[in-house]
Amino acid sequence: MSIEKYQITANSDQKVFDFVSIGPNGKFHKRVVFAKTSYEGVFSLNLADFDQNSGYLDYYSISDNGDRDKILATVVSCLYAFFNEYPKVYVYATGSTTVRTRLYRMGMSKYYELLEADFNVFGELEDDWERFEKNKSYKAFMVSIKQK
Amino acid sequence: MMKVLEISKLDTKRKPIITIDDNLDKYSDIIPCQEKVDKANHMLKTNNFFEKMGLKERITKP
Repeated sequence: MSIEKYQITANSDQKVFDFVSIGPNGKFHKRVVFAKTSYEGVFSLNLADFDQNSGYLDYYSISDNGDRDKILATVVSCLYAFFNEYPKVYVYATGSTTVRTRLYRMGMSKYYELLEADFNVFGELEDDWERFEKNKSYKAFMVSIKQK
Repeated sequence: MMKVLEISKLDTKRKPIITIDDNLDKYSDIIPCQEKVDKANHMLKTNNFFEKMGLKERITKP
């Protein structure tokens, strides 16, 4: 994606990524973690604000720092790095609140053509799954990298 | 130890944006948000992605 992104620091197995959001409300340390689920090969995507002093991860904070698209593009960069290391896995993503899930969906709809070039994106309905469709309401998302 | 991660899709060779820092390894085994992991596990039990999408198209299980 050619959208502006933040510089990222990753751990050695590329499951933990840190970056700093910078905007009118200040600097916010963000952490992306790909966590194992009970199903082999399915990971949960987690994005949180990270307190450098206490180590506390806040999944519900609203920094409102005017950089939503830049943060989403940075998370997509984390996905590229993660899939570069684990090309056959799936990533399950949902917001910590319904509002945040909606924001993710809006961002994914806005940049869907870019995402779709490299990723398979699916949306979770109440009792079903389907290929992601722009501007449709979903509970959650599943993403895998296209095998080329 | 710090090194730059290169990913061709992100053109990181020309413009590095990802640096690897071993100091972050201590966080890799921490379950970051149990609620989100629980949501994923719940989906896999009650609305299993692979069962549902497997009926519609060829999905390769990991």
